[in-house]
Amino acid sequence: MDNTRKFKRREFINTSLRLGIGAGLGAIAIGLTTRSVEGKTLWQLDTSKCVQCGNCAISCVKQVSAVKCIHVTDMCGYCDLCSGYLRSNPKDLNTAAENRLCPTGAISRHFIEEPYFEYKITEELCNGCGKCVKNCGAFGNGSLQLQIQQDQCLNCNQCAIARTCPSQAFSRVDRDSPYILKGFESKKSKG
Amino acid sequence: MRQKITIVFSVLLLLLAVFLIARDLFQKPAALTNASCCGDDLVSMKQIDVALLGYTRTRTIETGVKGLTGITVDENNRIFVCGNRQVLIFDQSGKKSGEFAVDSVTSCIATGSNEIYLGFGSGIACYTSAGEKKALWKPFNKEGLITSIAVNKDYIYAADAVSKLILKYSSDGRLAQEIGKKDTLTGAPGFIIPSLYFDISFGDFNDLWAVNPGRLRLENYTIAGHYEAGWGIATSENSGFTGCCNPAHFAILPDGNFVTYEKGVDKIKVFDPTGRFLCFIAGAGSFKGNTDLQLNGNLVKDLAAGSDGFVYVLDAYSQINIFRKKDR
Amino acid sequence: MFFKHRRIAMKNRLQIIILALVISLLTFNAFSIQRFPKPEFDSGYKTPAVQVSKIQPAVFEFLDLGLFILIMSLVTWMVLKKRSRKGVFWISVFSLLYFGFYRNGCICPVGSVQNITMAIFNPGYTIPLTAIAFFIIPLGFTLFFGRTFCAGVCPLGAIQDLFAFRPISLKPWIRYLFGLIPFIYLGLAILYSATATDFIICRYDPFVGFFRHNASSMMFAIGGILLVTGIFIARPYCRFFCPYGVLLNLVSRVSRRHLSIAPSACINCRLCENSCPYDAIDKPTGLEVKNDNRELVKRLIVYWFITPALVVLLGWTASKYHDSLALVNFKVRLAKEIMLLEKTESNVTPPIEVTTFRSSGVSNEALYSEAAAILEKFRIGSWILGGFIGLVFGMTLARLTIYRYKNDYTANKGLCLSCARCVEYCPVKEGDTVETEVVPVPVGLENP
Repeated sequence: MDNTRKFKRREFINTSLRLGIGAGLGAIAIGLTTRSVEGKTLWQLDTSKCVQCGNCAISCVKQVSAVKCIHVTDMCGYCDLCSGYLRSNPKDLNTAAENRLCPTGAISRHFIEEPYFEYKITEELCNGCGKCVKNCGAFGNGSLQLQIQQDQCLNCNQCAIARTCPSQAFSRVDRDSPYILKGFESKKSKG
Repeated sequence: MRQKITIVFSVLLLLLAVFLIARDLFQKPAALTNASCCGDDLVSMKQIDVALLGYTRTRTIETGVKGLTGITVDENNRIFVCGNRQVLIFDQSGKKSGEFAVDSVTSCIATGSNEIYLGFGSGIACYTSAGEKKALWKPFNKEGLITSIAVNKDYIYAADAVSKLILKYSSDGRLAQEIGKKDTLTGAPGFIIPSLYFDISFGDFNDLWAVNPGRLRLENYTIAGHYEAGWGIATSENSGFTGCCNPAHFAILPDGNFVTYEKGVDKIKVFDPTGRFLCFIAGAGSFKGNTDLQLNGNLVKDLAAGSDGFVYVLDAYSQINIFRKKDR
Repeated sequence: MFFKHRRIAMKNRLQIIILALVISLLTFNAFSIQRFPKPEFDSGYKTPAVQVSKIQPAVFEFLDLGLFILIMSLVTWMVLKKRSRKGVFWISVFSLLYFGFYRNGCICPVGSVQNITMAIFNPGYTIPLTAIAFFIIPLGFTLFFGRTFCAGVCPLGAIQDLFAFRPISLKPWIRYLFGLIPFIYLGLAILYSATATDFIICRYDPFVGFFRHNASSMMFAIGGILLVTGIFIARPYCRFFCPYGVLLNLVSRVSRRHLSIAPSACINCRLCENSCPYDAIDKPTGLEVKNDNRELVKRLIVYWFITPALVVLLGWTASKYHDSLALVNFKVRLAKEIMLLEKTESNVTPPIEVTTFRSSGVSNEALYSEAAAILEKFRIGSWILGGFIGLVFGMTLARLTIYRYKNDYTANKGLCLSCARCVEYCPVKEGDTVETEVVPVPVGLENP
């Protein structure tokens, strides 16, 4: 008889614990749902904080970083002497490989008309090192900017680059405005 | 027995995994250095040969006002600085001799015989030297940006970086001429202005000089607006200008030499009128302050030359630096 | 005359107002947006659009959530109703392929613990709805049906399950000792996410690198170690690391229903005895244990005194190391670096995060006070963490002294991963009645 009572008591404790846990889970779910967002927010880096330290190229969990150089064409000066494209002390003023700045050759250019050139970034080659961004910012308009290319980003729970970013430029952004580009919003608002 | 060895081995492997994770978590992350990254070494590019410094700093004036953008010196060597909806006037000793508020953010400043001309975004405002507003001239281009003004006794010349033109105004604010359009007949090359830097100044022979930043050259125009000649080569050596659009600012000394400021590398150089490099005035290391400044910002906001041969440099730390030629 | 004067004055005033308006409009136009003088192309060249990729709509996340619930239900049905190891196995393969390799292992309830903690302690953090769902749903299922999530939905479990070729039974003391790791791991993960420092569970997710074919060599090495040891020690991550497994384990103990080895009464045939690769089958206990009961109670009482002592001792010890724990936090680390630099005043070039901070315009004092606030959180947090670990230690010790009478082979509700391997070994059919009694049943339990 003693054991039956013990068995019943255990059953009772289990049931009440179950109810307690269930209620706790429900409380967490309801409490947090009130201030949740529908979809996942996305990681992005603020170009105005970025110092082009080169961390993006090495800290991303992907072997080739999801951070890419984005060319805000509206801000480009279309220069012949592009400091983001050419090394600043080239042997000769031509586009031979040893004169180019990009270590992976991801920037290509095409002649438009005297004296303007169009610059394009081959995204698959870009590793987000920011060398071109640094020089474009120092000498030119800063039309080359580092951004997380969202289709490349795995949207880790905690971004590995954000953890080591010296200027803490990374944050989660709303999926309605997934890019923080200088000189890009104004264009969008115009049309 | 074999089972036992396998278990011991596996357990040791698991402990190794725990150790690896713990070490990675608590280990100090490897330090990133500026030098280890960006191959095109801006730090070394910014360095100047100290032996080539031909000028020495005589005075630093703390203006105490943030966001200053323009500096000019009148014929009595009074120093005018503008920006942040303010105009400040200093005398040679560094004492503030006047100041007045203006109703817009100003981009540049120039003085006439009795007036002060200010670049008000796309328009130009004319103030008396006492700080009373006389007129606001209608902008030539509503989207424009006046980056530099030069005044002679007849006309006011204003550089519009967006329209890529030098606008010549009569003293009553009437637009008299547009200078600098590309013209194959006269050989005028046309201004290429990739970023918002476009400086002009009068030369010794009553002629007008302007930067053609996209071509890394200085160009000479008559006051009537005809293209004459130009000099300047693209190089990272001392003999020319580097980057995509330089020099950002320049001034002409009484002896006809040119003082130029290159953004990006933050070098102030002196050239003779034919474009031969003479000496440095200052480099990136010459300007230091304790205020907030983004790493990529330009250190020099504007510069001016006085009739005494001194060079006045407005830096990003809101200081006016006065440089004098070194004695030989 | 007078009127005329007045009119002029008014006209002047009007002019001034208009002028002021014009000026304010002008200045607004000039400086509100940073414009650049775009070149004018004679050739009619048009500026190309900025190459930024589109965002996948949030709908896909909810589709994943739907699929997740579907698979959870399917596995639960397979385990409890269909009692089919084969079914569970193939579902786990599907989960591995879909949630693991296709969705890159990021539909992950394991890491969601941190999102929940972060959201509770940092009101500024917006938590995605799906993260809440992925946290709650497996726990809810476990509360009613046992750890069916572990059986066939979790891709981390599925990949290890494939490697469990030659599972060897572990000595209990190893199991108990290693069983403490998940609690410590969970405690640390909660500490770091509550202080908004880091998400360490995701950072050291050992298999996500395989799913993405992309990880650092260290993470590949850890993943490799776990898979290789997983050949002999089945599912080592699930049993000795997984922090979410801790929660599932605890919840599963009070689950309403659970996988049973025998569909009806156990006949104590011992066929299933070695079938469980996870040592999660409790064997029947002999009667003779009962004789030791008095002694056990004594030991239990000792542990009830030892446990509080352990809580205090470990809490105190952990709080001594709270600043070392806090060094994982970027702000604390930065503040410490700057403090050190200011003290030494040397002319070595400071690391880039210091130069960047100095140029940001924030004062050292502001950083210091922020770091001090974080440190204080860590101090309290490490007390709680240490106390929690002490409690777990004590409870583990206490558990060793408790003997529950078992007269048949049952799955340990906490440890069982509901993989249904044992079911295949059981000769009992559904509806079979007990024919023989191998072990004498204690009085009073004949007809439970």
